[in-house]
Amino acid sequence: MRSDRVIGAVLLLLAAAYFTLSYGIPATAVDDPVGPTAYPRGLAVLLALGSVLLIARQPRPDAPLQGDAIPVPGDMGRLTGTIALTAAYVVLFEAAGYLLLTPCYLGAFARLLGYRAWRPVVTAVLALTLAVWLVFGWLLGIRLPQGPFVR
Amino acid sequence: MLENFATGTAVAFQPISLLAIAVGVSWGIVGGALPGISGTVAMALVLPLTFGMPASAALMMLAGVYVGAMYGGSITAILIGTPGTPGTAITVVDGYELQKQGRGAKALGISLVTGFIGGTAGVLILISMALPLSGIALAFGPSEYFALGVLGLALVTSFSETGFLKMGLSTLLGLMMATVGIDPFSGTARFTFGRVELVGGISTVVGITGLLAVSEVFAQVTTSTTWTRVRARAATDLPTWQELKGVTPAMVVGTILGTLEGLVPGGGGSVASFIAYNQAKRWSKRPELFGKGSLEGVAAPETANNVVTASALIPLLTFGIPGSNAAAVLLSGMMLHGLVPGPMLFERNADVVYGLFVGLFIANVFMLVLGYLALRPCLYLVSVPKPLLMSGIMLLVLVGAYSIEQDVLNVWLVLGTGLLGFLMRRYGFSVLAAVLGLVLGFMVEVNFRRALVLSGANPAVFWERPICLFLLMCAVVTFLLPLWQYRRDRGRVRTAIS
Repeated sequence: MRSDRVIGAVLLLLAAAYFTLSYGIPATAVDDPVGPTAYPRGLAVLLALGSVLLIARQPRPDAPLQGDAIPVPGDMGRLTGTIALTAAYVVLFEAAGYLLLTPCYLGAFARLLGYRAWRPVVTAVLALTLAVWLVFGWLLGIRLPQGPFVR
Repeated sequence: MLENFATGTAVAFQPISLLAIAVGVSWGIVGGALPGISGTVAMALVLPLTFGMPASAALMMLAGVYVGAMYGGSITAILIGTPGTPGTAITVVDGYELQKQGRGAKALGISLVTGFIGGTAGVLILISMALPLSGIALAFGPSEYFALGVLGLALVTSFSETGFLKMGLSTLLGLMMATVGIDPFSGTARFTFGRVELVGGISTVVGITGLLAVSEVFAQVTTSTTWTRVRARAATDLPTWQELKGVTPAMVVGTILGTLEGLVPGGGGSVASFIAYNQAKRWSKRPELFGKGSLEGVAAPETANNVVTASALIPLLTFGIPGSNAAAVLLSGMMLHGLVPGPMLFERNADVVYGLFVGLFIANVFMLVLGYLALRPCLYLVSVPKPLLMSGIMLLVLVGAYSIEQDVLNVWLVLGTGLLGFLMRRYGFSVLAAVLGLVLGFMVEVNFRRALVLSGANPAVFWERPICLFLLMCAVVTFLLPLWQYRRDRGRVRTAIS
């Protein structure tokens, strides 16, 4: 596959970056003859070797895919939408608060995935928001962001 | 030892433990039945919930999800011909055939009862093997543990169908993710980009939920397949004594293969059920019925699946090497509660280990009862439209990631690892290998360095000790075997062409 060469190049860059970052690890004061950099650098070298093999090897027909592989490119527009929507949720999470923001996010997400019937959406979205809030906020005692209206 | 079992029983019968198991099994059945959520993903989704629990209850809950998911997966496999979990893919063949013949209720009954028998047998095997093996593990030093970690990773790599190079690269990515944070020896921060939040490392919860659950949501988002609603009027018809006797050979085959599969890391349950199905067919008195609605064809994979829920814990508890992906999630659950698997676990945390043994028994009983009683509500939940289900999973993941340290950085990380997982799966890499690398990374690195410190940086420590040398040689063989097979097959193709 041609994509293998691109991925190989990306992984090679990653290995180089990771190796370079290992210079930032301070030397240890404790008695450690190997030092803190040997193991990460070993990983970087292995990754680089593997990437070179991936780039250099003969393009071959795709091996049979394993169980969890995603065979077709699919609808990339919806994926981009999902990521953008979720990123917006994360950005606004602490400022807008969980209870205010979550129903909007869930509703928009369901709509993005093509679910238009608004009544089941509203019911399900409110039920989900409340259920997760009860489990995490009340049962587990996690402080979820309250938003601007609760002080 | 009896004293330990008494302690374990007391722990497992505490109200919080029973509640944790019941919630775990129920969620496991529902999660397993939902196509797209495997048992491993179902376990990953409840990981954040276990933070505040006592360690023993947390592990029992995770084990309960694992047990429940095995039956849940077969519900959809039998009723709509879609495997709810990868492990039940082969159950579709005869289970769905039986459903089409109007005997779906019987198939569900067989699946439930043989699953229960398999799960219970698995726990007995777990107890009888884990205790002696943990004695052997006492003789292990850092170099042996390092070799064992490498062998575990090599086994995973060799289990690939997509080529060992990509598996190896996936494992390396996981190992590298595990190096972010505090250096286990010097205590200095590394690869943290100056962020205080990263000093603790990339939480395995974040890595696991991102790579497995978020990547699955992304995958489902890109496909526009319609959601199959379960319209079948389902009931469970428990097998008669005669029928149970008829499938006994299949259950024996399933138990043996499930045990072997659990002992060898990497396969992850689905392999066991496939081999069990084929072997049961081979040894059956009526092999002609296989594929045409054979009860044995349901019993063999379902027994094997449920045996794995316990046998995969043998290498996990004794050596710290997870025998399946679900066991890897369990390992990260143990690490969250500061438990280190290995022989010392049996000494120091006997209540947790023996509590887990007894808890697994209880989980299997709960699976039998809940699986029988809760079929209808479960089918109702399975029919939830995909958009609502996906947004629900996403919410659980995001809030779960936030709850780890009440910090948004983890939420970004879970999204990032999710995208990475999606790309890996899209281009033939393995997220499961990456997860195992992430989970085992700490053990591999710490023992590698500890062995070298103890020997004064003399690498001979890895080949002068016989057990270590043996384990490393096994690792090299397992790693090179697929390569050799590939070259041999390519040679054959060339000969055939010329």
